[in-house]
Amino acid sequence: MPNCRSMLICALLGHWRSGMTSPPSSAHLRDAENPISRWCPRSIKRLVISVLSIFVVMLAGPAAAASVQSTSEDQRPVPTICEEAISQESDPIMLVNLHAGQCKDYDAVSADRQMFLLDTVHDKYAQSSRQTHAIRPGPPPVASSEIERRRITDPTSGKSRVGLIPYPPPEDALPGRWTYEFLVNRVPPSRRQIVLNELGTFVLSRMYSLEPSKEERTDEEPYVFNGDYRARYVCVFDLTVQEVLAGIYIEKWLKQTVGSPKRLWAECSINTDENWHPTREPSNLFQPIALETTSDLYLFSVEVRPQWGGGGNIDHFEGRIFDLTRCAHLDACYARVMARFTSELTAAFAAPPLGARRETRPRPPGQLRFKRAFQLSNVLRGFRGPYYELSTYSLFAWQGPNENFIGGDHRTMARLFANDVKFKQHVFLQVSQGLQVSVGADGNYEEPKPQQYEAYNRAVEIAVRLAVARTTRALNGKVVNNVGIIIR
Amino acid sequence: MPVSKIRDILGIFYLGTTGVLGAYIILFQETMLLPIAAKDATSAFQIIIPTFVAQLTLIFRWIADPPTNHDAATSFPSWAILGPPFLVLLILGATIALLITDAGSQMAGGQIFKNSVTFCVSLLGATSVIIIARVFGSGTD
Repeated sequence: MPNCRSMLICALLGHWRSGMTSPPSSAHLRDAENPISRWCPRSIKRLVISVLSIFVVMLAGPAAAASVQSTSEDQRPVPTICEEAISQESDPIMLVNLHAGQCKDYDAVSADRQMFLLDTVHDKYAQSSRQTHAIRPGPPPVASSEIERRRITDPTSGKSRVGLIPYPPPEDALPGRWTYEFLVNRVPPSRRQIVLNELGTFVLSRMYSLEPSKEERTDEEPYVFNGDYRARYVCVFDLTVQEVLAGIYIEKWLKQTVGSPKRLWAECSINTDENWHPTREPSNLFQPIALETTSDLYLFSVEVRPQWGGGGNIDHFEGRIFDLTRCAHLDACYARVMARFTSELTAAFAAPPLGARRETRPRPPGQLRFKRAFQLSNVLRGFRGPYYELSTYSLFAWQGPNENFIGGDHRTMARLFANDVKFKQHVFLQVSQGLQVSVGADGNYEEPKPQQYEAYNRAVEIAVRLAVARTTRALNGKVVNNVGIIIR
Repeated sequence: MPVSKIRDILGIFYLGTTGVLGAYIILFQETMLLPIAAKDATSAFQIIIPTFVAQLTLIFRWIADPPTNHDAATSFPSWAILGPPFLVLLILGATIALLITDAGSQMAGGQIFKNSVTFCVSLLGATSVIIIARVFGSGTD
């Protein structure tokens, strides 16, 4: 019973705490400072926590009071992992192994609930060691200029996607209002090189831990299901580059650590098909593994904390392609347009320079996938080479209202506008491309250069516009501002 | 074979190979003339150039300050002098020709080129480098 009561109190206090691991929306992350942190002097905050602690002692005993104190993370110093807890073996099963009472900076409770991400990632990496893949996606774009150049948008706003957002392990379900939270742990100087050596094994990380993407497991709507998988890989970010530093939401941890930031190791993820072939741009959600500053090295652990949960959605927005407002019978018109558009898209993507064939596997309504795997890239013929490509184009078409476009959140669209005629009057299209290139068919398929991305952007745009124009002409419509207006 | 001729052959071989191969890797990486990734080209460059430049340093140090009585006859057989450079040129030429012909379509060009270069460096390290130390060393006069 005391445990239950302390959990309840922790959950209530969770409202006040800043939310680096709360729902990954940009507004939330920017304004996540809790009201107490912003408006109350630190002394008042301490007083409130002290009073609550006394209250907790009366209700649940000393252990729960310690738990309440520990939730005041702004005041909690960064704990230092003791030397004994870090293995000195060359290839340990667990690098960090905290036991209760072993390190003075960790009380018995916090020692038991720490899960170090370096060990978690290493474990997953080792488990998929037999599946060797030479496909090495680049890190998700962080700098705002890079995000804009690649036209990666947040479908909920239509604006450019925000940078990298830390996000705790979503796959492990927890009771309501509880979530995982990251904790920064200082590595003792005497063990720094051992940890750096371990981190060095992830340089140019291959993908690992292929598993069905979350949508496949949880969503019931067939149009949301896309059959994609999610592979993980380790990215290393150079934080000495100011634009990179500004694009990664780690301010809170930088305030806790000492020295100027140098490098961040993170577990990134990317949607793939069942053959580990990337299908979209990498996700901008990441799990931090380690942070190096000019003074120290820090490892991240995860612990269970009370907090709110949420989700994110990332897509590459293309735009509105058809206007069906003049159609007499909307459903029949949409079916006719999409049938023709599908065949025109198939032809446009199959033609040079894209040269991608349509996947024959049946897909949900409104979704198409084209692929060109391990073949000479026609798009990059003007570049040095010869470049071979691994391209997967995922196309999502849906109906929506013109004046209130809210992007690719299909479920919200469907629920809000299921009975509204305006919901069906315009057709939108998103194109997501997973792209890796290699010099030679048998080389390492890695992230292309920005100029190469741009060449593909142009080629994809031309193919989509061509398909829209041909479809519109075939259905006796006219194209205005790249949107096909269907007459009947 | 007179030692002066040995010096000419090895000097020209090392100077020519270092210059031509280095420039070739720098200029033609990631093109149809050397269809390998820049990373592989850099690796190959880093394998071959330090070894070759070290030999060139020995050679030109000798040329700059030749000892007296440096044309004494030696007992090196001709094949020991001509064989290694000939083989290395043959291997490198064949590798590059193979990569150009394949154009990256089937073979792992970068790996093949790195292996080929490493093999050539090892071959020279076990053969011509010893001759160079002998004929361009201070004790040859």
